[in-house]
Amino acid sequence: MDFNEIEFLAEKELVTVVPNFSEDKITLVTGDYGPFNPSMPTTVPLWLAVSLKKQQRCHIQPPEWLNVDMLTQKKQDEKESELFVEMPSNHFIEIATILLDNASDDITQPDEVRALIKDISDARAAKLKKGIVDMVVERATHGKVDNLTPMEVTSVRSFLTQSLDQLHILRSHANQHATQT
Amino acid sequence: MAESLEDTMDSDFEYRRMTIKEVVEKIEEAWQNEKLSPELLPAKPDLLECLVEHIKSLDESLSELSAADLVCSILKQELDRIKYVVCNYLKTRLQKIERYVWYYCDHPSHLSQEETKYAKEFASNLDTHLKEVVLQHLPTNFQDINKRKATLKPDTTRYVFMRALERKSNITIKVSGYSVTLDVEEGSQVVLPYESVSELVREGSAKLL
Repeated sequence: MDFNEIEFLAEKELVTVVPNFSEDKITLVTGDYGPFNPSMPTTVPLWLAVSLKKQQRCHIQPPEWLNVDMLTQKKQDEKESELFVEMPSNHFIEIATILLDNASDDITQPDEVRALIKDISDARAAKLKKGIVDMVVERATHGKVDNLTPMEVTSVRSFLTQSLDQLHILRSHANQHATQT
Repeated sequence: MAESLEDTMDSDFEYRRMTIKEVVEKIEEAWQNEKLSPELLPAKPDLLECLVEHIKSLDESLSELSAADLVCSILKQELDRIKYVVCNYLKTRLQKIERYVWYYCDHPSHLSQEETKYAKEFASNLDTHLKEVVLQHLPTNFQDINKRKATLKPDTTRYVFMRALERKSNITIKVSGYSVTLDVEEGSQVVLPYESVSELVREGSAKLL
């Protein structure tokens, strides 16, 4: 799984759009959406929302957590907690980035929101780095990573899993050597 | 007669009661796990066949509609997303089969019929290629390949990230001589060796991250 594939998964998350066109209910393989009427909010997957937005056929209502107040609170929680705080969405970084890139006019204070998202993800990345160092120092057999989002897992996946693989190969050789002598 | 049909259709039975939406979800789950697991997971030929048939019929009905139509373009976009997952899923499996071709020729239990056929052809082509390019130019006593030594096996001790989809206790983790057990709650996420959770991933009570 690379970053594009994780973003692909995030695009399945549902968001609310306010269309400016009329259309009956659309039956897709993965669900029914609509009916679409001007000024009537309706729920669609993010990929569809972005596509409609690009054609200027709708406004996107940002998720309730994508604003300065909520994110400031989350940033505070993240700084105060030693563990990873549960985020409002498992794909919060991707959803925020996609909406900021494609519908920044639908978001109030987009620059502040973008900065907050970056602060939160930086704070979490720092915790993750510290966690990795602890795991190696303590010779852990496994590590708990509750509330880590798929995007964050992807950012360290190959580095962390391969390092652990190598460490355990080295250790099992060391053990064998110790029992032989 | 009816009984024997039911027996052979056992694995089919489940998907016959599924909606196409559930089939897509199952394939998407299988795709994510397949991308992240070191070994080949059990093939899902029935689900795939069902989905590919559906894609074909959708493709046909869409080709009759005008591309400029909004609904049509939305349907096409969704279809493209589904096709992407199916192609990527199959490609991921083929990459593993090619990499561990000799191993999977001997252990074809997780391969579909088509994949088994592909693996055999790939192995025989590889044999011919190695012979023609190198082996036949070597002295006779160097011309054998020791397949037992040359066979690459999927390494199931590799570390993976997993998310528990239900509560499980006593997961055994064995690493370099140590052995510990672990209990997980629904939604917990752990980085640990693949072999300790391979069974859970196969039965669907854990997914790889």
